[in-house]
This record gives sequence, structure tokens and C-alpha cells, in this order.
Amino acid sequence: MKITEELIAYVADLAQIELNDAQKSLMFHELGQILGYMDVLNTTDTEGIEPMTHVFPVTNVMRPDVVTGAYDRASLLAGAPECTDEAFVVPRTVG
Amino acid sequence: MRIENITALELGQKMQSGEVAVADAVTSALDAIASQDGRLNAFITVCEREDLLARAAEVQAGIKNGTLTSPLAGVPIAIKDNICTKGLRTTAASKMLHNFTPPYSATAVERLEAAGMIVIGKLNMDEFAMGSSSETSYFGPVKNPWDLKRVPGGSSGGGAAAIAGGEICVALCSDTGGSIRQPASHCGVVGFKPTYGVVSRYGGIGYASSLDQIGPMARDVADIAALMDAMKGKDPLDSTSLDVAETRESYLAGLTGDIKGKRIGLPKECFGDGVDAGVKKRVLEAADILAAQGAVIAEISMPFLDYVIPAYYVIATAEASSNLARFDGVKYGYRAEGAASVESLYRKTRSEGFGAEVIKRILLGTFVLSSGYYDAYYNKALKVRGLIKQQFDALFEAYDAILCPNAPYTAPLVGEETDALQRYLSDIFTASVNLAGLPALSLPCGFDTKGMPVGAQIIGKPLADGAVLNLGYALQQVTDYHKQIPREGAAV
Repeated sequence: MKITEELIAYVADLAQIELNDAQKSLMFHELGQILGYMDVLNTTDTEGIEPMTHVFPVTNVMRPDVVTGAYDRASLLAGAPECTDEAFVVPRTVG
Repeated sequence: MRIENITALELGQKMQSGEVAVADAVTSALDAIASQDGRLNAFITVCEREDLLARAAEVQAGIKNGTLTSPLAGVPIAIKDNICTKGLRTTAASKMLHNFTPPYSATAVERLEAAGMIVIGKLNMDEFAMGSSSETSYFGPVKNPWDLKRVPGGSSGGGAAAIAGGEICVALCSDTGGSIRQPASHCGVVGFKPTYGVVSRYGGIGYASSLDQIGPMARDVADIAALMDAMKGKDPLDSTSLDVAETRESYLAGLTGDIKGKRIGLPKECFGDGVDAGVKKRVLEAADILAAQGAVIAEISMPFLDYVIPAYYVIATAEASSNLARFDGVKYGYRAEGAASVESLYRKTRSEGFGAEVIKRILLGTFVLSSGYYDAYYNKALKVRGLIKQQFDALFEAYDAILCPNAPYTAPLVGEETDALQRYLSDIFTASVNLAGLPALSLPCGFDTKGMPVGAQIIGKPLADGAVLNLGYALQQVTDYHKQIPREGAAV
């Protein structure tokens, strides 16, 4: 796998992260090295093997439809960088 | 009473009998932290003395009136800082969460507290558990008590250093690719990664959810079993936690030391080139000791070992890129100043709040999941994971356990591992266990020529947690490596 600076910029954009020039150059070098090593995966024969996302079968879990404890709003807002007494506050999203 | 050289069960017994007051146990731990942590940096947060003494009085009353009968009641414990503790700052060793105080506790923490254990503070680690040296913490690196010039391993380096350095006797940590076992190995303590699902992950800050497992660290195997007994089992808040017969038995009661006829495989790939001679020698001695107790040892092969690290890092970073998408400066934690739009807020917050290793793994994970590369990397890694699981299953038809080194070498010097790929490769013996969801124990088995601890790893089949612990217990009945403590004033 050949890494390019454009690819690093594209992936950083997808991940909502801004890289400065020093970081770009470090990522270019290190991701290139690691992805190069990961190509060894392509030398394994996995014909007929199912992709395994989880070691044990994961099934839907149902619970009785009864109200259980909930956190009060104040305790959840207590950690917010900015909030009113009922909501998180972010920069203006519509003109 | 000195916390430096006692186990949790010994200390708990002294409190049940009235020989030691709970307040004295707490004070002893606080004094040890005050005297040692300046050089180790194992703690990010230590609880206030006044709050701890109030909690100690509560537990003391419970012991006295017979409501707290757990062998662990009154024992101080420290918690890795990626496990939520209600009302107690939980940072994941990141600038992103440097000011985060959770409104709830992890289920494992709640269960340990219900048994009467006392949370004394939060442990340093690699940022978001991403690393194997505890050098990536926003709060500065942790040092190895055996040699302060060396790393303690990671990501749970704070837990291992705090126990080896005599600050505490037990810790609660997390293991995604070896993060409990490798630091335990590097610091000469015992660490256990349970079968996936045996301990609830609720309240653990997710790194790679299909690999993450919360587990204990201690000075000996009996303490590990007691901690597991107190926290294992189904949790309605974690749909992947298991409700099966194996998790309902007491692991502590199952420690008989009888391992006659147990079949143990030694994978030849784990004793080849690239593994330090001192490490090989000590682990093979451990095999001899188990054989002398009646275990049957044979050489086996794990041909999949070359594929473990690439598969692990593809899957772990893919899941991390998704898990860490939640950190955006809106609901909790760090928020960048001066953003004019929501999108700019997300970008600035994430760029300023995450450290270099975390950013690297998010980018790697985003890449392997991105359109055009998903099949070649992520989906392929999942198939290799399936293959690794199949091959482990085949091995466990013929063997009860696998014995191998935890890491190819003992604790490196601070700054010695400069190559990014080399650092990832050091997880080679531990990460396969997480890919297959297996239980694995790391325990001290001697020292190398540099005087640094060597750790042996015992891997078991799924849900054979008790059998794995019993093998380790048998080894500790006839060795005293786990009782060694770093000499006073170890290399400065």
C-alpha cells in the first residue's frame, strides 16, 4: 500500500482532525510503515472463513418494558464545557 | 502494618479479625503513595484523606456489624483512569478528559465497593490505553520501580508500578491487546485478562470494544481470584457480559494447586529468534516447575503468530476511530477556544485534545474503514481473526493451556523503543488472546541478567478462567518470585 500526502489529508478530514505540517510528515512516515507491514495479511489464505467481529455470538437482549432509574439532567450537564440549565450549548448552527 | 509487602487477602483477614483497623490500612496506603509517587508517577488522582477516612469508618462499621463479610472488605484499591468512578475525576490520561468527572461508576467498581473495598485513587496509563510503555500519558510518563530508567510497560503501567512500588496491593485495570499482562510482566506483579464477557465493561472508556476487557492486577494469584469473585458475572448494563455456569463458581475456592495431568503446550514460535535468551530461560524453568507438579508439557505450534499484530492493529484502530468519535467538545471534557462554527469546534477540540499516538490510531482506523480500503484491510483482518480463533480452538482440543512469554524482552529503557512498528510488534504474544477472547494470566517467573522481572503467560480456553488461575497458583506454591520487591532506593 502506497501512502500519499493527499490520502493522509483525506483521512484526517474524515476523522475531523487537523494536522500541522510536522504531524503530517510524521503520519506520512509512520502510517506508511505500519500499513506496509499490514500487507502481510494478504499472504494468508482465508478462503471460506467468515469475518469475525465478535468472539461470542452477540444477540439482541430484551428487558421488561419497565421504567428504571435515569440520571437527572443537572448531573449530566455538570461536565459540559458550556450549557444552559437544560441543554448543551454549541456555536450557532443556522444563520 | 505496611502495605508494601502484604496481599489483599492477608490485609482483609487482619481487618476481619480486628488486628488492623480499616483507617490504618487507608492511612498506610496514603503514606506509601506520598513517599513513593514523586518518583513513580503511578497516580493521576489520589482521593482526599478526609473522604477516605469517612469511607473507612463506614466499612469498619460494616465489618463490625457483620454486613461486610467479603475477604476484601476494607482493602484499598486503585483504579486505572479509563474506568469511570462516580464523583472522582476520570481522565483516560488525556487532555481531552483532563477535567471529566463521571456521574456514575463502572459496574466492576460498584461491585468491588459493595464488597467493602476502598477506592484510593486513579492510576496513570497510556492515553486512552493506547501504548505499551505508559509514556503517552498527558500527565507524564510512569517509571518502573525496579529501575527508574526503564518503562513499566503499558498501557496499565500505573497499576503495575503502584503495586511493585509498594503503594497499593491491588488494582483494577483494562486489557485490549496486553495492557494488563505486559506491564504486570515488566514490573514483576500478577495480571489477569479474563475471558471476554466474564467481567462487565460498563463504565470502561471504550478503546476497541470487541477486544477490551476489565481485569485485576495484584501481588499473587489468590488475590486475583478473590477480586474476580467479587466482580464477575452478568451485568444488565453490558449486553456482552456472560451469564453462564462457569462464572458462577468461586475462583478462589477452586485454587487447589492440583494440576496433575493438565496438558500444557509450549508454542515453538514463542521461543525462537527475536525473543531474549533470559526471557526464554525463565519461562522454560516455569514449565519445568509445572511439569514437576504433574503437568504434561509438549511443544506445539502457533503458525498464525505472524498475522496477529497486523490483524490486531487493523481491528483495534478501526473500533477506536468509531469509539473516539464521541469526543467533540460538546458534552464533557476539553473544548477548544474560539471556534466560530460547530464543525470548527469539533476539529479544533479533537486536534488539540488528543495526543500524537491517539491521533495516529484514529487515522489508521479511519483509513482501514474507508471506502475502497474496507475489504482489503478491515474485512480481511476480521477473517484472519476467525482463522486465529479456529486455530486456538483446535489447540485447545488437545491442550488445557498454553505457556509462553508475555513479551519478547523485559522492560526497555525510557525512550529506547523509538520505532513505531517495533513498539507495535512487542504486543505479539499478548494480542492474539484478545482477538480470540481467551483468559490469560501473567505472573512473575524470575529475573533476567539485568535484574528485571520476567513474566510467564498462561493462556486458557474460553471460560476456563478458574483453571488458568489454578495453574498460576500451583506455580506460586513453589516459587517466591512474586514476593520479591524492588530493593530500597533502586537505581535512580
